[in-house]
Amino acid sequence: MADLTVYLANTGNGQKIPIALEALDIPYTIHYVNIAKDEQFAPDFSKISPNNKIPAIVDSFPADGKGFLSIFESAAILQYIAYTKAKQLGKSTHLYPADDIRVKAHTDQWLYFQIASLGPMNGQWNHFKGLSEPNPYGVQRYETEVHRIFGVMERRLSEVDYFNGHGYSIADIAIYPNVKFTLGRNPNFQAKYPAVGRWLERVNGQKGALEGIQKAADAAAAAAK
Amino acid sequence: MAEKADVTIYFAQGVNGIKIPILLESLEIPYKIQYVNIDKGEQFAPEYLKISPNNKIPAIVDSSPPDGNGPLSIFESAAILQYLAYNKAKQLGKSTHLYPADDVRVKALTDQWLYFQSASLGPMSGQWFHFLGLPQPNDAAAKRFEVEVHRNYAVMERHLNEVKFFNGHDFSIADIAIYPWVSGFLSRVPGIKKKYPAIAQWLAQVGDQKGVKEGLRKGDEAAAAAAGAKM
Repeated sequence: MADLTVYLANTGNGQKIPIALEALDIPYTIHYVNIAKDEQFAPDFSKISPNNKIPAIVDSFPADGKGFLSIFESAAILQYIAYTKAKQLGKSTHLYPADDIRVKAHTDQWLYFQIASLGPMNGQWNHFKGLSEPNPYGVQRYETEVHRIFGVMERRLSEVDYFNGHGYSIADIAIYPNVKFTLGRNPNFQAKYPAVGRWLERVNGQKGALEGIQKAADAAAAAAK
Repeated sequence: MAEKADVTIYFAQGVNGIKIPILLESLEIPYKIQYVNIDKGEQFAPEYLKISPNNKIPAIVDSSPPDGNGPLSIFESAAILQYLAYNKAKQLGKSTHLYPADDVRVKALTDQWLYFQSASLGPMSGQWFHFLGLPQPNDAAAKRFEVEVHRNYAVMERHLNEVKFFNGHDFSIADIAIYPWVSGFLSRVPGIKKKYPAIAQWLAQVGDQKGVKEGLRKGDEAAAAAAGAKM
């Protein structure tokens, strides 16, 4: 039986959660949120996700036994799933070994690098690139910043196989959809950031990575019917 | 009494850097400030990039972390706040009330608003300030971010109409992370406090919390000392 309901849309942020859950064999149900129809602004969803964004989760049986627990912000969800919920269900915590202070800090900093830098700046670049009224300054600003960010990742991944320098973790899971999308859309990125490309292949081969992306796509297709 | 300072903060004056002195003053954890002159590009120095590979401030180095495995450096203000308010506080026998991470529910509530600041409020406010400051106006971009910032403020206003502090429990590192951004905005835009009365009230309450005024003062002192040293 699935304690967890995942509220998601088929985006880079939404995909992170099924990727982690598939990796850990934690059962879950998907509740699709149709962004195109503004379903993220529905009052019931706002209660769970007051910033009106996906993903969000509801855990109907959290470890403290005090009734359901809702969480928004993908980083908070990933940490909760990969440590607290994993522990409760007797699953491995290798994706977020939070009892090890050093590994935890190293995982956290790259996870928050994704939510504060890679995600927002990539999002702005995609926005400005897609405008019908061109805004060359906007495109240039965010393209430059995304390249700077990829340079940071290239340097890091030239030294370590996974972002926390320890093992595959929720930091990689958070960064993976953005990078997969960007490298897929921009062939010049593959040539310019080879260490990032090799990391992408490693993550593609990790349990749950491709499965998670497929689950989000399947949910989108089912919602479209 | 001079307690040994394990923690060095790499700091520049501004909304993100100031979060850390505020926290440390609140918990009475000793620290040193190493000023990073952003104007001079000191955030790109190779030695600094080892600590902060995304070349941003703040970052910290803890010379004596609890695992005893040598210095530990941390970048990203959310990671720093969590480490100091829980792991370092525990090690030094200080209170963990600013981040009671053993309580699953309070931890999750604190985390989601802390990351709201990292992922939404900070980046979108930062983009807006950038476009407002351009010599050549870019009205479409400035408008985009103005709308988004006000959307963020409406989210906070709704929430603070229901709770006193962001995690719905007590003053925490979520409030500390949000405070400098909100303080700057509310103090610079005329009349804006009337639009967000719950936020204005929260701002006043946070301003009175232990450590906030002291942290702000320490930040000013460090900036002044760095400016003086330039001459």
